[in-house]
Amino acid sequence: MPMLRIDGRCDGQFDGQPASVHDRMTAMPAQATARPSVIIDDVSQVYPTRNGDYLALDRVSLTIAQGEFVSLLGPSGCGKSTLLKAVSGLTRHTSGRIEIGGHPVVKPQTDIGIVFQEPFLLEWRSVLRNVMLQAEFRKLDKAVYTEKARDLLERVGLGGFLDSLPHELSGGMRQRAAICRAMLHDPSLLLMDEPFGALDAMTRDNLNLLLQDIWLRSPKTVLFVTHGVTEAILLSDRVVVMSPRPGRIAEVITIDLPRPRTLKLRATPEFGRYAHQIHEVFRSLGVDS
Amino acid sequence: MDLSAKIRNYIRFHNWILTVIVVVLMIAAWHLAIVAFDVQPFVLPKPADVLASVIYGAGDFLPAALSTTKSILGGFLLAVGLGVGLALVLLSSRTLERAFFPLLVGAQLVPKVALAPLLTVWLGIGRPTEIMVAFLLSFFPIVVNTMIGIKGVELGKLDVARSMGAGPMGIFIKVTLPSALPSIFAGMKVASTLAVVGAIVGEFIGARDGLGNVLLTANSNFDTATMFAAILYLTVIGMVLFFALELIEHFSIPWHHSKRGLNLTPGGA
Repeated sequence: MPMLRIDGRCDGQFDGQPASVHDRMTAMPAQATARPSVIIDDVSQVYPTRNGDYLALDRVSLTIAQGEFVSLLGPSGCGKSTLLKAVSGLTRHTSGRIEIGGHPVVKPQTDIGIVFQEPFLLEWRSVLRNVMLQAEFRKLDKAVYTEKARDLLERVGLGGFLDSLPHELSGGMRQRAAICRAMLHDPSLLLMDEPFGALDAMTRDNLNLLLQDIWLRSPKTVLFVTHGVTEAILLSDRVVVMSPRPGRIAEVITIDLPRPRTLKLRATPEFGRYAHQIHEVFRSLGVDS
Repeated sequence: MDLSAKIRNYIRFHNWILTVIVVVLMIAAWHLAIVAFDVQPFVLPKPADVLASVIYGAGDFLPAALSTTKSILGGFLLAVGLGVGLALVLLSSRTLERAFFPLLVGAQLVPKVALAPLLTVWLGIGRPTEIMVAFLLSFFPIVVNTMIGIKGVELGKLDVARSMGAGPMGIFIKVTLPSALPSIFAGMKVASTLAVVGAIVGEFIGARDGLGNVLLTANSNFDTATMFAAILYLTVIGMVLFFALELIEHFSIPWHHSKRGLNLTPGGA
């Protein structure tokens, strides 16, 4: 995907002025018609601990184009979730700059959808009303969005469970409801933090395909945190491999496989080559994967 | 299925039948023990005498019970209002919480019943003191349980709400408070039983009415049957309050109950 550009390090040229975003745009190859959706520029995150400061992210730079599906892949402790949280604005990064749609992230972002490893549904609300929470907090039209919520839930196979309470559903179903909730307001950016990490392999496969299906129908930028190599290759345009302690971008691998991708694709040599390439990166980092 | 199997099956799903059988057996044993060992009535009255006292003394008991109930409810409701309120204030700032929570725990170590005579100096004998003792006893579990409930809300839920553009008030009403309700109810149930204790202690130190007063008067007359009856009335008041809370809980957080079934175990006394 030539429209995307990764900076391994910050070169300091974009600091400050909003105009710099456009400089960067023009610096991209000619076929880059998509605007950058997310710009992560020289971002570091330091946590104070009992034993001194802990560097969770070390000068990470990454530009994600609109409509692109990017995975952050790495072992635990590589700062991938930290980076996602920083992009969401739920935590404040220590230094560097993050922009979404041209606006700097300085407070919790509200024009995005977030899915965590746990569904975090409200136990006292039905599936439909959990999804509608998104509309309630945003003060969106109730009738219109109830219809939208029904459609979304129908599409992920929860049409028959609108009035069920979360504890009546399986883990996979709950996570599907959480994905619907994150998408109800049709955000242009979806942040997913190991959304399928707590599910069994079969459920995970199904939800991978479901996510691909949703993404193909309504293209949106996705930043997807995972420690699953297969999942990352299956879903992504680009896989950003991160190394731990401190969290750095080790390698960015463009996945050039046709879509829609199927589970069978995993058995092909092309897929295997990507997997091998990623494992080689891990091995060179001294990380078991 | 034959009849005995049917009965056994019915009992398996209606545990209260077993409880009733046990109670009936205990009362029978109580009666038989008195007859067999010729126990004096002022030591232990017969169940029938207690029942007679409950029924024929109702004219005296009911106004006393009403008075005691007022003190219990007064202290309890005050504890709920101020307890939940204080919990919210303490949780509004880390500094406040760190400064005052240890004080609160320390205050809990003071045996509050011992404060009752002091309270009569400040509030006089009667209703205000009774309410105050009931309040002091039931206050702490409500504060602590409310704080536990509110602090226990999963941070991820708050993050999700924040990403939806929710403000602090919206998050509190739609996410935090409902999450905390089970814990707040647990605190209120413990507090309800303590409020009964508090009201009686308040009455013991010199009230002119209430079941505590009835108990003391009967005690000085060696009227054990009346004492038993008064205790029975008190127990019923405590039970009604407790089950009323269970009922409110059942209807206000059905999502919580639905997972664990109706649980009627008192939290403490």
